[in-house]
Amino acid sequence: MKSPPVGYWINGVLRLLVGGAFVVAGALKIADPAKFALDVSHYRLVPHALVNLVAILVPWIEVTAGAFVVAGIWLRAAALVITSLTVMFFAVIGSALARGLNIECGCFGTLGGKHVGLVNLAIDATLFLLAALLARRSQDWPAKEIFREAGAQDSAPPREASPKAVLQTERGSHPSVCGDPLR
Amino acid sequence: MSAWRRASLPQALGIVLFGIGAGLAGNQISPRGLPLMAPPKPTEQAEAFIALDQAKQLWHGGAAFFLDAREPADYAAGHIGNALNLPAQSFAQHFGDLAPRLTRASLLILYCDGAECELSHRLRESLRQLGYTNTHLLFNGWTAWRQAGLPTTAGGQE
Repeated sequence: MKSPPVGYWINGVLRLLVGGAFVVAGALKIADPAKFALDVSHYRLVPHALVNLVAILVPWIEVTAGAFVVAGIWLRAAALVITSLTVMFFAVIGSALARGLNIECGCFGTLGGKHVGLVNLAIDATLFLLAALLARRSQDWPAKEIFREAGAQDSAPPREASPKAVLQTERGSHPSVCGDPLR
Repeated sequence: MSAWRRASLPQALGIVLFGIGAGLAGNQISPRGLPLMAPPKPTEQAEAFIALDQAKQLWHGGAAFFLDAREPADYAAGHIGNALNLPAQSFAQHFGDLAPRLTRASLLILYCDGAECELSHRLRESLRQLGYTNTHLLFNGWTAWRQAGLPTTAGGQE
């Protein structure tokens, strides 16, 4: 069996970076929900009554999306969720900085400094770019199809077209397969 | 729009809903779970706070202990002169070191930093549970004290 194309390994690294970061960030918050609720309240963006609900749900959405990305399940959708979360976090952190709030970020524990600052914005922007790249690339290199393609090349006679071209041809002729990379 | 792209939005929604379900379930079974709706914010009575001028007089007269509720690193970076560090977030770990210096009748001025800081409130509650009720909060303590040009010190607690 041939090795998957380089793009597959790039996707793997991206998945570990982006998904892993969100799993860790979410898990840190889940470990101490009261602390995260306090951090959320300090941003003064959520009505007090809803602070706990946000503190309960956001970390689990982070962990779920991160785990889906790491596992490569519904990859593009999970990367899109993470992209949306990073946009939201960017707006929240940016508004805190604009208002001059001297508060804890509540992002990755104490990573990036104890108080919210430009470092947190930079980390968030980096994750946004990586997640967007992953969402974009996951169209080109869905894991199952790559392996299927590599396996098919192993057993079938060699074809002239490149793996990517074959992949795109197969997508065109089997939209149902392309619609769900896991099938 | 390709079938794959069309499938992404419902899948993304599914991931979010899964996260919400896991969050609600996890919160339900976790011993550290929170009430879904936050209870009304406890409001400190006005008499819980002490004015800066009054705090200054107490400091000069040596009639009160000043307790810094922030983390040791923040305390070491700068604190009210002669203040003791009793971090609200690790109260149990640090209280034993300070207990011999305090009595339940001691006048304690608690502070942290920033109008939004709740560490001094948490410290007050922790102390109250142990019977230390003669406590007052210095609003926006560290910043207010520093901006007033009152005596400060840097360095860790001895």
